[in-house]
Amino acid sequence: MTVIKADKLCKLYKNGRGISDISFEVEEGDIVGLLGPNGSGKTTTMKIIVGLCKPQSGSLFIFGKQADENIHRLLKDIGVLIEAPAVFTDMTAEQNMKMAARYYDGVDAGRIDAVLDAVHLLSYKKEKAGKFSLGMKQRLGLALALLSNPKLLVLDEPTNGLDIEGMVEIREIIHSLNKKYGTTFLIASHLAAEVEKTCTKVAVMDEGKLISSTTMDKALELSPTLEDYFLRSVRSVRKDTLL
Amino acid sequence: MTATYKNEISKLLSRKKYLVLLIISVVICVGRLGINQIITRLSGQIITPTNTTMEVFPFFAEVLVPLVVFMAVTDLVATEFSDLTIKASLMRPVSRMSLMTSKILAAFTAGAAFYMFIYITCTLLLAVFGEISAVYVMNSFLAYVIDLVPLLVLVLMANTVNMIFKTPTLCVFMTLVIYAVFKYVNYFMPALNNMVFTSYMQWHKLWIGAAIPAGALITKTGIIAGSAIILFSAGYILFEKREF
Repeated sequence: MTVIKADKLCKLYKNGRGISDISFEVEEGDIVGLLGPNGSGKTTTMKIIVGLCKPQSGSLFIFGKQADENIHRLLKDIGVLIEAPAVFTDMTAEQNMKMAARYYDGVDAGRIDAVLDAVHLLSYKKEKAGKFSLGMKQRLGLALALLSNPKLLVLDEPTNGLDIEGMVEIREIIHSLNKKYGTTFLIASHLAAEVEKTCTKVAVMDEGKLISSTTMDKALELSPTLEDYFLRSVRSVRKDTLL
Repeated sequence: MTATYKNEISKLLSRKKYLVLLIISVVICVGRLGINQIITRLSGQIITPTNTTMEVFPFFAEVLVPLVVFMAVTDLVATEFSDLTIKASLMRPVSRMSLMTSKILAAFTAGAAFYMFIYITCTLLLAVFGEISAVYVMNSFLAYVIDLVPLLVLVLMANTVNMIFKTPTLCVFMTLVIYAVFKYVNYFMPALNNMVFTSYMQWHKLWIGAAIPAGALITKTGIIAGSAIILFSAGYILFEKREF
């Protein structure tokens, strides 16, 4: 089943940046990494997918349904972490989780504790989120995304602000959810090594365009590391442009 | 929408400033009752005690409660736009219409809670330290309830202003400026007095006491309802267009 089908998505900001002609598909159970430098359009693509901004043209289908009109209904099955985690700093971690839990049926205190435990924040649940470090806020943001056990997780730089152990733990959580529930992931990152270790497919973005897309195995067949594959993809496009 | 409404209320409850404003309200009520008692005693009962509940009402209806709802709307709208915590709601299964309606209702609930708190405080103070009659209690209660109608329009106005301007401080400032302009425009252009909803902040005066022709009541109700519809629609259009 195709979870996400984007066709010629275009969104250009006043400063000329954004995305143009982005087309890709994400199949159920995939862990897709959107790899690209800062400003390549990864976050804009993700924002369009979750309805935070609207494309100027193109179409988007999620779970087989047109996204623009139905996005708030589709979000029942989508967990999102985009840019800085949206947490209320006047509230405790638990209160933040409880507020999110109200939107879903069957998410009880036990589930909240389990998710906080998974991201190692259970012992801090009574502390105000405003006192958390960047890494802890990121973990809380991830916990909020995982809370409803969604079918699709859209994560923008999920390891941002995390230490090495934290990064490994997040990777393990991703693999475990993918294996256990078949959860589909779309992960944006500018860290090639992280995408290589986490994802099963990779899509490279540069200057608002999707310049290549393949499975991780194929990418690593073509180049010794994902970093090399990324550089090769980017340079070939830039070279064409220069010529 | 219930979940969203509960969340918006939780956010307001987590802010201490509303508690401070409640305490200030109590102090104002106690102060006013105290002054009334002193005047009555000093005049040798020539000046009789008055209905404190209604005496404090103009100040609360036109100054303090509008300030509370302006702050509540700014906390729930402009502040969330500014620090991007609005994403916490937008990335959940809730439509923008439900989200905006919940925010409006939560801010309105804050204002209504203030009204009720002030009414109960004044009534209790009068019952214990002053004189009170059943008619006073009933009329005062009706006045407080009736004046919730223009309060809702005020919340809608604040919501629309919050959708236009970017920073929370500017939103509060502009809401206050627009409110003041609407409120005092009749001094310079008396013809506009009946046209702006802020002229009806003490709406109970139309319904309680002197009889007003039904036609005039219908016209004034139409102005209030029309203002509400226009402000709600404008707020929603601006919110729907907004990107984060």
